Order: sequence, then structure tokens, then C-alpha cells
Amino acid sequence: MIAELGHFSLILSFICCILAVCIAQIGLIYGHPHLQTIAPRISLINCFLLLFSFACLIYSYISSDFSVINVWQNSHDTKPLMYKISGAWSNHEGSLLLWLSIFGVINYLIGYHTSQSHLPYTIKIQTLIIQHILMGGFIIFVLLTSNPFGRILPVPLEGRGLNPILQDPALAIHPPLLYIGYVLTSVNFSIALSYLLWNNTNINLGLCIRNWTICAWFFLTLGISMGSWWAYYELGWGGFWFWDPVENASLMPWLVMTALLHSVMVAEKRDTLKAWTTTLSILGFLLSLLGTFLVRSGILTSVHAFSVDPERGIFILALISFYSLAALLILSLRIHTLKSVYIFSPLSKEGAIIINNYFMLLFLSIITLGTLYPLFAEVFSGIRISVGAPFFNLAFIPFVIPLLILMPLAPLLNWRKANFHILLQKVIFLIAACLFVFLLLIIFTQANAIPISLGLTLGLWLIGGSLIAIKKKIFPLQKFFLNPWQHLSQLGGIIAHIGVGILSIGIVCTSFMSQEKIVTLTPNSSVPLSGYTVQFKTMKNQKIANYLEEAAFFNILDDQNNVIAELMASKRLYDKPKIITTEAAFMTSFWGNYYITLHEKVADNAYNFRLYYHAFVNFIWLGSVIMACGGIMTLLRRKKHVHTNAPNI
Amino acid sequence: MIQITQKQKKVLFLFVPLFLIAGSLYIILSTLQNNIVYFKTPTEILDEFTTYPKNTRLRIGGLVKKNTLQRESNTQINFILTDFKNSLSITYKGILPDLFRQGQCVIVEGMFYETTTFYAERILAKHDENYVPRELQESLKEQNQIQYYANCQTG
Repeated sequence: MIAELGHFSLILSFICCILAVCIAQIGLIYGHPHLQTIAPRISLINCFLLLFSFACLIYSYISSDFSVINVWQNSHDTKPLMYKISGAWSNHEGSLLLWLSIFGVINYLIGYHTSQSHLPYTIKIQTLIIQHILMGGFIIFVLLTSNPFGRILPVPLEGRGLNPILQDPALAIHPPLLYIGYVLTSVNFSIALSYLLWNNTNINLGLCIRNWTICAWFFLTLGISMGSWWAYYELGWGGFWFWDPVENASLMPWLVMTALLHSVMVAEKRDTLKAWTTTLSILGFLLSLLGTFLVRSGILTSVHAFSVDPERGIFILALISFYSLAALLILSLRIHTLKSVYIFSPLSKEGAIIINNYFMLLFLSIITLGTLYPLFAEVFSGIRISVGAPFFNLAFIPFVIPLLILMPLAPLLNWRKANFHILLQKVIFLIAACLFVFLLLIIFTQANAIPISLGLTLGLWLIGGSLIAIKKKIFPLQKFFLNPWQHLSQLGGIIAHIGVGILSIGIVCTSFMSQEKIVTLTPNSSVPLSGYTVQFKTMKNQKIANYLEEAAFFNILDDQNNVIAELMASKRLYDKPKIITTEAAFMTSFWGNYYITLHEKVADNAYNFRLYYHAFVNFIWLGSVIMACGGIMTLLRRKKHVHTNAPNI
Repeated sequence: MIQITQKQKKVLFLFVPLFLIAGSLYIILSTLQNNIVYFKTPTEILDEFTTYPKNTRLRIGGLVKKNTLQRESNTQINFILTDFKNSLSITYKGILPDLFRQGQCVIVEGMFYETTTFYAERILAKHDENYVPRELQESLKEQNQIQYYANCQTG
């Protein structure tokens, strides 16, 4: 009964989408304000309907209603409550419903929580029309090919259970975060399209999309880094990024959003780069769709891919192609209306932002090439190939280095035209300090001297340069406190740059200073690992809740033989479904993680272990979080009115 | 100070970005060319063996033939990889994935160097027990090995 209610409200919400589009469009054509207000009202109703529908699915999961196919396939009676709930979005159908509910909430926010100064009324209505066209298409997709509320007869007694590697707190929140980011990119898309379609060129596009871009970028950053953290500690491979097609697909919209985040500043402040900003807005959402759906269509092989249902794949491809072609057609037909006349020197903030955009698009093309090339090669020439991590790493490095060199300089530049000598004055001491550190590092580092010294110096340069920029912003204090929010919001961007510096230090150190050992140990034997001694104590088999566990116990000893940590690395054989997972033993510290995984038994009482010491690995996630927080800080700014002729309603 | 005319400036603005883009594309494409890993089945390997340059990185997909797994030392193993037509002997030093079993589909990645034994550096076995690599599915179908493919699927 509950499932049918959910299904029914999904159908209702589809009808609402059609109504909103038709009525609001008629209202726009005939200039009828009452008909126009239908769009925000329906966005509120739709938000309720979709959330209700999603709540119905969650209820079915909590009450373990196995007559619903989706629940039967992905849940089990004995699962902890938290994973019953998160099970609802661990699969294709449920994750789509989550995607739609977020879409509903965001439409409601556009409808009711945007100020006139940020999103003038007519643009709001137009944006909502486009949002409802998008939403309608995806609701139809869910209803026709991936209905989460399908029933099964006879009712099974027990569910098939959730893949245990997905039973994890990080993975319970990783998809919602990422989906919020993906869905938020749709707002930019719709605003940009409404801008083109209805010829709203007298309105400041940058101001309209600025806050949405920042939010989308914030959630994407958090979502991606959460996913990487999960992969690091749960999959037991000891890596933080695998260049897997699904990861790449999430990085693609992130790169575009990063480019947009910067170009939107120029669009807002200088009312220029409008055509480019519009293009990026449209591209960002199209790539988000690719990230959400293309990987689910089974075209790309990946550890993450849920479904390999051809009918579904063709439907979603057709839908995405339709939206993409329509958007690109509108873009190409109308882009000439966006003329920018603002002239700036190449050495200026505007120039720096264009360079940033160039790098982001370059990274985007590297990822697109590496991800899609195998697909094309197979389709067109029948050769089966794969392009893996070595390609991405090698292709990225030559471009990341100049990017990191240029990055801290950008906040130090003036708008419009900067003076090279003044810039040089600001950073000359930092350059000297960095060169000195570089020389010291290159002399005193034993292994991998060049990459380590280069990486650390670049990180230092980036953080140092950002600190100089922060100092310039904060001092004199009187000026800072005259308009604190404005200044804090400007600091946000620089703090995000510091995050990038910490992130790159983390990546360089983990890649070049880590230790990995594969050893065979018997109980009570020990092995040294990066300053400590790892002592294998004993092996134990235990039965816990819904799995059997083979656990190895360790002591970590320092050089005086004091036990500083007791760890457990294990292998679990889950019951439903029958799956083995590797649970790594962890000791986290500021300087790095000690990481032990248990592998096969090679003789009586002798087991293979993999021991890692990952230097500075936590900097990777720390840096990402700082980056995201810096980004969200830029929202602190007070609102300002700059639209030329916004109607007052 | 060199004076640049307006026209020269325009030309500069056009060509510098073009040059940068072309340079970047060249770097990316040459990196791609050097880092492609070909996917082959044992049969394809034996057919084309002489045509490969030495030290080409390859991925070979197949089934771990039952009762061929030998442990050379604690961390080194040998086994035979087969596609039911032809077989290859594989040597692997390192840790096996949890799901590595005899009779199951795996992908090995590595090189031949100068021998007829394939030195695997990585073994990929997916988290799903019923997993058959997509590339292998197709080649098994091509070779009319559908019943084996079915066996392979059920473990």
C-alpha cells in the first residue's frame, strides 16, 4: 500500500511538471502574472510529492517489505537500521528517486528562496519552466524503465541483502552529497538557457548563477573527496584515486564547475565573458548528467556500475542526447546575442581567470579522452584496449606544475590591469624562500628527490602566496572591519587555494614517500615499518552479526618496545549476499597512516599481509575539506542590486 | 622596451594560445599512445605473439585453469590462464585478490619480457563472484564457448 502511494505520487508529480511548463509558458506569452505564479507553486507541490515518494521507499526499506522488488534485491532483515535506510539509494532505482527528490527541493528553493536581486522574477519563472522540462523527462525515465516501487509475487521471505562494501557510513552520505552537487548544476543550466532563449541580456548573468555555482561546487568537492576517502579505507587497495570511469565522470563536472566558479567572477563584476560563462553553465550540467547516468547505463565497465540493462541504457542515452542537442542548438543559435566589450590586459585578474579556465578545460579533455577512447577504439576498430592510471598521471603532471606555479599569483593581481613590478615586489621574498627550500630538499632527500622537492616546494609556494594575499586583504584592520563580510567572502577564494596546496602536498608525499611491504608472518613474529615495529600477535575466527570474521591482531611498537596501538586487520565473509570483504587495520596520525591488510593463508599459521605506511595521506582529505569550506565562505557576501531593469513584483 | 603595434598584438593574441593548445594536445596524445594497454585473450596472444615488440604492456583475460595453481614461494605463484582453446602460463609476485579462485575469470596485467611466461604485475578479479570481464564475454561468444561462458558465470 505504501509503495503504491509512492508510485502514485511520482505519477502525480509528472503531471504537475507538464502543468507547470504549459501554464507558466502561457502566462509568459500573454504576460499574465497569475498564470506565471503557477510555476513556483507547482515547484512546492512537486517538492512535497517527490519527498513523499522517497519517504515511501525508505519506509518500505525500514519495514523490510520484501514484496517490493527493489527492497528484496537490496535489503535484508538483519541489516542495521542505518544501512536499511542508506540501502534505499545504494541501487539504480533508489538513487534515481533520490536524485529526483533533491531536484524537487532545489526547484522549491528557486521558487521561494531566491531574492529579487539575485534572480529577477521573470528569469525565475523561465528557469523553473526549463527545470520542470528536465524533471519531467527524468520522472518518465524512472516510471518507465526503473520503477523502484515494482512488486513481486509470491512475496519472498527474506531479502537478498546489500553488498557489504556498501555498508559503510561514508558511503551512506557520499551519494547524497554528490547528487546534491549534480542537481545544483542544473540551476546554472536552466538560468543560462533562459538567458539565451528569452533574450535577458540586460540582466547580470554572473550575479544570477554565482551562488548556485558555489553551492554546486561545494557539494561536488565534498562528495568526491568523501568517495575517495571511502575507497581508501574500505576497498583495502591502499589508494585514494583509481582513475576509474565513475570517478572520472564525477571529476568532469567538477572541473567545469571550477572553471565556472572563476569565470563567473568576471561575468558578475565586469559583465563580460558572458558567452563563455553561459557555455560553461550548460556544459557543467550536461557532464553531470553523464556522471549520473552514463555510468549507470552499463556502457563503461567499472567497479561501480549498477545496471547493464540495454533498454534502460538506450532510453537514458536518448534522453541525455535530446537535452544536450537541444541545449547546444539553442546555445549555437543565440550565442551571438551575448557580446562582451570589456577590454582587459592579459596581466590582470581577468587574464588569470582565463588561464585557469584554459587549464580546467585541458584537464577535462585529458579525462574525456582517457575515459572514452577505449570505448571508441572498440566501436570503430574492434581493438580492445584500456587506458589506466599511468596515462592520467603522466598526462596531468606537465600541466599541473605550471598551474600550481601560476595559482597563488592570481589573487595578488588587480582587476583590469596589473603591474608586473608591483607583483614581483610582493612575491620576491617568497620566491627566494621557495628556491632555498627546493635546494635543501633536493640535497637532503634520499629517494625520489626531484618529485618530492618539486611537489613540496610547489605546495609551499601556493600556501605562502595565498598567505601574502590574505595579509593584503586583512590589513589594515580598519578597512577590513568596515565591510567584514565582503572581505571574508574574498578570503574564501584564497583559503580554497590553500586547500589546493595542502592537497597537492598530500598527493606528492603519499605517492613518493610511502612504504609498501608484502610479508608472510606467523603469530608472534614482527617486521619493521617506517620507524615502528609491527608485531603480529594472533589469529582469531569470530562470528559477528551478519558475517564470519577471520581477524589478525597486531601490536605497533615504538623503538623502546612500548605498545602504542593494538590493531585488527580482518577478512569478512558476509552472509547475504555471500561476499568477502577486506577490512584494513588503521593507525592514523598527523604524519601518515599505518595500514595493514590480511590476505591469503600460505601455510599452517602463516599468512600474507600487506603493510603500508602512507605519508601525509590525510592531507588529501584535509585539503579537500579546506577547499570546500573556502568555497562556501565566498557566499558570506551581502547581496547587492545591480540589475538594470528588474521588474518589481 | 619593445613597442608592439595594435596589429602585432592581435597576431600575438591569436597565435600564442593556438601554439599552447597545439603543444598541450601533442603532449597528451603522445602520452596516450605510450600508455595504452591492449586487451587480449590467450588465443590472440599466441596468434600474434611474434608481432609484439618486447616489453609491451598487455592485459590478458581468461579463466584460471583448475588445479594449476602452484605456490613458488609465499608471495609468488604460477598458474595457467586459459580461454579453452589455448593456454598461457602466468607468474605473479604479490598478493592475490580476495576473489581469486581456480576456475574463475580474471584479468592479468603485465609483460612477457623475453620469455613465453607472462609476468603479471596486477591481477584483477571483480567484487562480484559472477563477474565475467565484458571483453572476455565477447571473445568467448565469438569462439562459440557459450556453455563455458555459462559455467564461468556460475563459478
